[in-house]
Amino acid sequence: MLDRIFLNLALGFLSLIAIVVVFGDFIQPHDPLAQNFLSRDEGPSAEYWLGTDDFGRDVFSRILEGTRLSMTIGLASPLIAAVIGIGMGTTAAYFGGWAERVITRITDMMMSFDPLLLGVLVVALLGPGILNLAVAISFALIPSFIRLSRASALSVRQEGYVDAAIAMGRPSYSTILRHVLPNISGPLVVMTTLWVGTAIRLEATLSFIGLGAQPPAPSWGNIVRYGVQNIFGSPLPALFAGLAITLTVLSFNILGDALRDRLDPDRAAR
Amino acid sequence: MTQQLLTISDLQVAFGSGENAVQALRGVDLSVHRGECLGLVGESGSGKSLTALAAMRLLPNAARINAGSVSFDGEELTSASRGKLEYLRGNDISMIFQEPMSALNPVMKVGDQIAAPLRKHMGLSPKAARARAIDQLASVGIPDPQRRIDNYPHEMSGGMLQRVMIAMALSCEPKLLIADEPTTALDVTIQAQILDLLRSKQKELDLAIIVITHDFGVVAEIADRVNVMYGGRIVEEARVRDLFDSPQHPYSIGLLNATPTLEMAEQRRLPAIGGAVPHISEMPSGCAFHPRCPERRSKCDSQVPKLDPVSPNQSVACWARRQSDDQAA
Repeated sequence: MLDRIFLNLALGFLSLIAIVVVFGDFIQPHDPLAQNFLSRDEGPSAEYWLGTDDFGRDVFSRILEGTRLSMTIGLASPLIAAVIGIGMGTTAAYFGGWAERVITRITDMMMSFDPLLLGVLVVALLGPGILNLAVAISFALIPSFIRLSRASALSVRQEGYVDAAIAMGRPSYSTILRHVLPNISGPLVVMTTLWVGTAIRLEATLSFIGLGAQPPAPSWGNIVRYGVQNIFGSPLPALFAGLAITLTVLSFNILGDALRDRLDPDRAAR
Repeated sequence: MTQQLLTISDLQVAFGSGENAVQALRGVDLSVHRGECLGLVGESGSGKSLTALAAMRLLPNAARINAGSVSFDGEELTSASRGKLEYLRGNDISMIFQEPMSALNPVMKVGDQIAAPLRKHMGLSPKAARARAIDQLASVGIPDPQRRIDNYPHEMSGGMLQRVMIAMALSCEPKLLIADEPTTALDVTIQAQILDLLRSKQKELDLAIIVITHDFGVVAEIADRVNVMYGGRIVEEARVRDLFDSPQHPYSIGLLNATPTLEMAEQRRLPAIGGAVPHISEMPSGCAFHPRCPERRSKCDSQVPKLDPVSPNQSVACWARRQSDDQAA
């Protein structure tokens, strides 16, 4: 019952986020980049709902604008990672042999880097920026997609219908797409959802240390970063951007758990 | 009837490589003629399924063909390219499996699974393929095929699924169907129906069938000729009647003696073949059957007997059946 309530709250919050991302231009009460030196570090008011930062910019509008960037990266990186990772994982499981050996070695190598460290490396190599941030985060998520899809595909590879499909002359890529993938999609969907939360967190972390979106463009991470620097002038930007990150990550985790309960037959039987 | 469709000669398959290699098929020779049904009989582990998988080049990754040839309709399969195999499979050679429940994809409608080879091999449009899939379902005796075509496998019984498998395997009118224990997972009445279906399809399409089984009942029902396998080799090859009337190889004799019959006195114990099939890593030298053989000769443990005809329609690989022992080898 409590699960149900939390799930509905999470879905409600994510719907709000979706609206903000799509219709942001119409919702933002102020231009998120417009500076106003007459109203710096103000508290909440009817004009500025969440106050202003030390450039006199509207914090509420900046957080709404930041949602777009954080969510774009939060959704795009796991999806990119899923496509590449699942492709490599299923290939390894299906063909075995040297392809599998090479791919597992690459995975082990990638796994040995902490995601954050990997992000720092990629950004250091390619320079800061939104696209590079997305590349860095996808790169960090790829190995776990390889592992999960390979493990799941290995068990499906043993199924009679895969042999039957090959025996009917179905080419390898088509067998993987039509027979292997649909039968391993459950855990992969769950993992993708859970990784959206992680990707948002990673984006915020990398932006916080200055490797993500570059000012003045707002993202949740860099709002927190500059908010912390000015925490005694106005604590509100850091507080509310942090809250947005926390609630979003939490919502995706709740959604992921709920999906897992639905898609995993063992758990659904409870 | 006389034209050979599939010829396997001296086929050797091993698992692993180098010193750890385990020899699973140790020189299999068999041939199938057009439109004929060949039974491949043997205990578990004798290599019958492996022979079929090797012929279709569907061997698991760990296994490889080390020697021998598989020639299908004049085409050498052991060296055929991936593309060639994809063209042949489903089009000219098809296969059905022991477990119909696991041989169909649970998340795909059966109609789509039957339509897939039609679209690939015959280049049919989705609509035409669907229409033909419905015809196929009807032709294997599935009632209400228009509705059944949109069923998922879990909505069907085991017998129906095996019919669906047959419909799928025969959809492109192949020349050869390999049936790997097609009735083992089904109950007896359904077994008979499936065998009848295979029989009628064989006549209708002039289809050659290899039936792999350990059940002599199935062989008697459907096969024209039988090959008996033991320890990765064919030990006897005969017409069905001849094998049942006068089995030659001691192993065939033992197998047939171990088959219960209606005339059998109720109290009598079934005579079993002593011992068990040796593990493939511990195959005895010479004739693999010699440690269990009641008619063992001195040379049985050192020299491998070849298939030799004892009559026009029957050959056996056994030293005890050689007319002149010393002259051979």
